[in-house]
Amino acid sequence: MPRNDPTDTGGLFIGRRPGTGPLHFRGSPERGGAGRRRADAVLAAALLVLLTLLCLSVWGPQPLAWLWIGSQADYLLGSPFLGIVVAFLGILVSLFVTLSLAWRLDRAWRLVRRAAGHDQRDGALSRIFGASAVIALVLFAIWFLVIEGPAPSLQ
Amino acid sequence: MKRLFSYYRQFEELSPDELSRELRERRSTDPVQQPPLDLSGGAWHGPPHPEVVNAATFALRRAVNAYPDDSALRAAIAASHDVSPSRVVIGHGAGELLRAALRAVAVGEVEVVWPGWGLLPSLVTEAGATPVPVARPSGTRTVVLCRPNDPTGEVLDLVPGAGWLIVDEALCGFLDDAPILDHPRVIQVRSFSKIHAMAGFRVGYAVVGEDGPDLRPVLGVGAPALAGALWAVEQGAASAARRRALARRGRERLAAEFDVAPGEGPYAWLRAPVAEALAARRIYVAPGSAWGDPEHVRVTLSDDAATDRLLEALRSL
Repeated sequence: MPRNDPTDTGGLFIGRRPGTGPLHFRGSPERGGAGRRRADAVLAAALLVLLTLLCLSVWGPQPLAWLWIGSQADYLLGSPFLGIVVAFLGILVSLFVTLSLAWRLDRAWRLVRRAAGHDQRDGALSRIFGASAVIALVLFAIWFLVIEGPAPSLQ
Repeated sequence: MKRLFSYYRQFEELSPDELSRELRERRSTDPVQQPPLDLSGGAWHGPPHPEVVNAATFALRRAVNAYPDDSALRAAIAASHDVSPSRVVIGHGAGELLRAALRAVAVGEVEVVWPGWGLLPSLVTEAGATPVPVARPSGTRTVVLCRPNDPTGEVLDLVPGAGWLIVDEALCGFLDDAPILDHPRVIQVRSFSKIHAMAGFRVGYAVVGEDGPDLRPVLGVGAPALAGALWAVEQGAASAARRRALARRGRERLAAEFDVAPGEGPYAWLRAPVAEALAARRIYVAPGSAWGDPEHVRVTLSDDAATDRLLEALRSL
């Protein structure tokens, strides 16, 4: 039977907008008391700080550490190529490990936030990762343009 | 530590896939979660043929500033029944034509074959006559009856008697053959609402005898309804046949397992006082108490999926 009812959308566009529905848990969570929720709020803040530090480490400490390891490889093996390969692969591997760790931390943060009484739907990882990249870029620009200067250092 | 983790794990949300699966399972097992199935109404469950809507839309886009002309529809109906166009009256559905017919001819006591269409007694009363419920026409008074009958589906023979014979044939599209009688005191009223699924158009027609009563509505029926009905008369036979076959299939399936009165039409008169029990499963049928018969329910036949669900519910009662 052909359907020609203009209001018949075949089930589309019925109900609320995507992402605005209530969270569905597996069961009915038993929330802790007020003290427990306060402690969870502090724990969530600590996890957020940890997540921020982890994301920031991707843009500075980790590449630097792998550059140092690469230099050691170059020195010990006597091959600059191998040193570059070690540093390059190391940066990639540690980036993926860090992202995996950050994803787990973000998930834990969401759960702790919900335990603290917030209707926490999404994680903060994407925003923090983006913000940390901006911060790292600004810091790098300050170091490169102001502290170190555009000219090469010949000392 | 394990308890600490399990405390936080209880705040894990279900993924969209898990949520859909759980809702589906809940809906399939819990009758209260199933969508309602309304088998109590009088209209056909599906939309009319798209060309009916197209014809009506086309009419709307033409000169609707003018009064409509029903001569083309009357001619088409007359040709389909091989009668004179002067005997055909177009009206706002079978109900309005029945009301006009009763107002025109009903006096004194009028026999109403009962159970029948629920509004017939009140229409007789409104016309200033007294309705007398009968199982069969006596042939001595004016009589009004449904053919096929609503709700039983029974197909009575039409035998004109001493009074007027007013036949509500709103469901006659579900019969293989529904002839027009050539008798001066017979009024046959038909509808496009059921077999052509056009209840919303409010259009029907009556065939009266030569020099019969004037049942025409003042200034006629709207142009879109006339256009849709004209398409239905001229080209709607195939879709009508599909609806007829669907209704028959539903009736046969119900009758194979339950006590359904033999008959024709889009309703099944089921001998089982199950209206409340079905309503608890979100299936709504018309209780027979509306016709003074609490032992029956009237089921409006619908598509195969609806019949499946109804049968399943009836078996579980």
